[in-house]
Amino acid sequence: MTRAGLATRLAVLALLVAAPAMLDTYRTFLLTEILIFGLFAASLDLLLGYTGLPSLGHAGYFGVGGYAAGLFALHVTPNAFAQLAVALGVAAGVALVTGVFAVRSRGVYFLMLTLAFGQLLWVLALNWTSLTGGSNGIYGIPAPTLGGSSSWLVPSDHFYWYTLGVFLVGYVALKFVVASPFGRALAGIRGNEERMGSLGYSVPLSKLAVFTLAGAIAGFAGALACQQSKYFSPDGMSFDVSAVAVVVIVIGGQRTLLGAVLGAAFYYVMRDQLSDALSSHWQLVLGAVFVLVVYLLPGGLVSGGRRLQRRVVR
Amino acid sequence: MTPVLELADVGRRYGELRAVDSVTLEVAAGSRHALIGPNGAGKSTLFHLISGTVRATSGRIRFLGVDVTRRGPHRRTRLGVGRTFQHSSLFDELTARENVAVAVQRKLGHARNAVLPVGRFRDVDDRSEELLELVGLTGLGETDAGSLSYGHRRQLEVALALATEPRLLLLDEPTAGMSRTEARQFMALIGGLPQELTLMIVEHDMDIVFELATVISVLDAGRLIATGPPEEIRTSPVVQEAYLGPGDRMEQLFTS
Repeated sequence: MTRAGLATRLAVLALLVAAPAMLDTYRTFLLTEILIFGLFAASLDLLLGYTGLPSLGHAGYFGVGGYAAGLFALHVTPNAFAQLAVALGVAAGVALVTGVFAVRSRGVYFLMLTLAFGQLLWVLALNWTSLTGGSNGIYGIPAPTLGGSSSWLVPSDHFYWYTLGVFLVGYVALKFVVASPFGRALAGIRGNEERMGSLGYSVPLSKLAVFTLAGAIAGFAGALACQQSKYFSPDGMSFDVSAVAVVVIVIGGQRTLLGAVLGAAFYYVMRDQLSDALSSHWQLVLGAVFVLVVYLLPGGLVSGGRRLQRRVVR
Repeated sequence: MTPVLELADVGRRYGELRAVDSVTLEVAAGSRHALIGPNGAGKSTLFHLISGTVRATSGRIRFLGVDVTRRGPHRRTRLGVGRTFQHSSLFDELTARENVAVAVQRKLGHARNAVLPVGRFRDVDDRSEELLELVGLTGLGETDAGSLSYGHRRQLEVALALATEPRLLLLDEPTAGMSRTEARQFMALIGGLPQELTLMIVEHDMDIVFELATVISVLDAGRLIATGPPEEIRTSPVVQEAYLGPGDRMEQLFTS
């Protein structure tokens, strides 16, 4: 990492840490949502961007994490970290089991299978009323604590810092994965699956590993979402959520992880600014932006930023 | 000594078509074994059966004494079956060096490491550089495989296959589409490979075949019609008939 790169990262981090001091409660809440959805989208980027696996059911694992955390909070402990761990484990388990079937396919078949699994999990959340409360979801979830009965996490700026910490753990973990030999193998799978087999790679196993990892981190993000709203319903894991994650990645720039987070920020800010004036029609604007990005800025916001940076430096 | 490869009645059917029909063949260690035959004779299919990318519908395949008939391609690679593809099969978006590194890191047992950055693995970098040099791609390491010239892509193919440290290397029409000069350079590279590495090659250029091969097998319509040293094949009436139909224009074929 260059000195300038390190300085930029530290500056961004400092800004993120100081953000609650500059923002009102509502905007802090919004920024928290962005981090949560950004982490979720980044976990999908690991599949979509890095491995070339277009999943349309990724919200399923987000939802599994959300329900796992929420139910654990309701029935076992309000401890935030315990909930995160449980959500991570359960989401990984569900991703592993569904992944066994999904990773045998690729391209549009992978898309359809993941879509089917996503819908299956959603229907399960909707109909398994005794566990999930059906369409009403689970509510009355106690505020998460950092241990004991402390209420430190209750103020929204405190919860924001907690989210920022968890986000960084997940995001940095993803960064490490994509820069590792395993990450290079993922690039190989994206580029040429057959060739990977004749180089001695067990492609299905590698795909299962990355699918499980991505599902686990999606579950991690789902747990945060549940802890933030103290509520989780099937809406939180519907097809829309999966689709928005894909849109967010394309707008932000795939195969960068950062793009997923920037895309999430773009999405939430735009919704926040436009939905009052346009009600649900605001998504038309989102659609238009999506088309424009695909045509004019194929690498998304990140590549646009890099181009701008180069022009300024020169 | 156990042959490197033993095929016993190996066949591959596609419906009624027998692409490879009951082939029995032994490949001795260290040999340069060429596979020739008219188009559609089943040469590439036979290579696929050996490398595991296509499963045999009948017969047994043994590699170094191990029955690999039901094993997938990645497990055969790990046992020592390396191959190049008729149409270069590379990672176009990655640099030449990265292409080789993908293969090398697995061989060196680092492919499952998901924590440390790739830059920490000096052994992978060193070995990748060595292989690039071996196949004559020094200085092209940072070029995307997708923008390499045709000949260079074939060389990179070989580097990838060699990175798996094969005992048996299958070369599927390695010089097809190359210029004369490119082909000659390429064959010098192949000729310079270690003697203990067993080679099987599918090739249409008879000059190359007779220059390189110690054994030649001839396939026709999925069947193995002859196997033997080059001189024997050159004069075999059966081979002549397969290539040209009844007649005596064999000399023309081999000298043109």
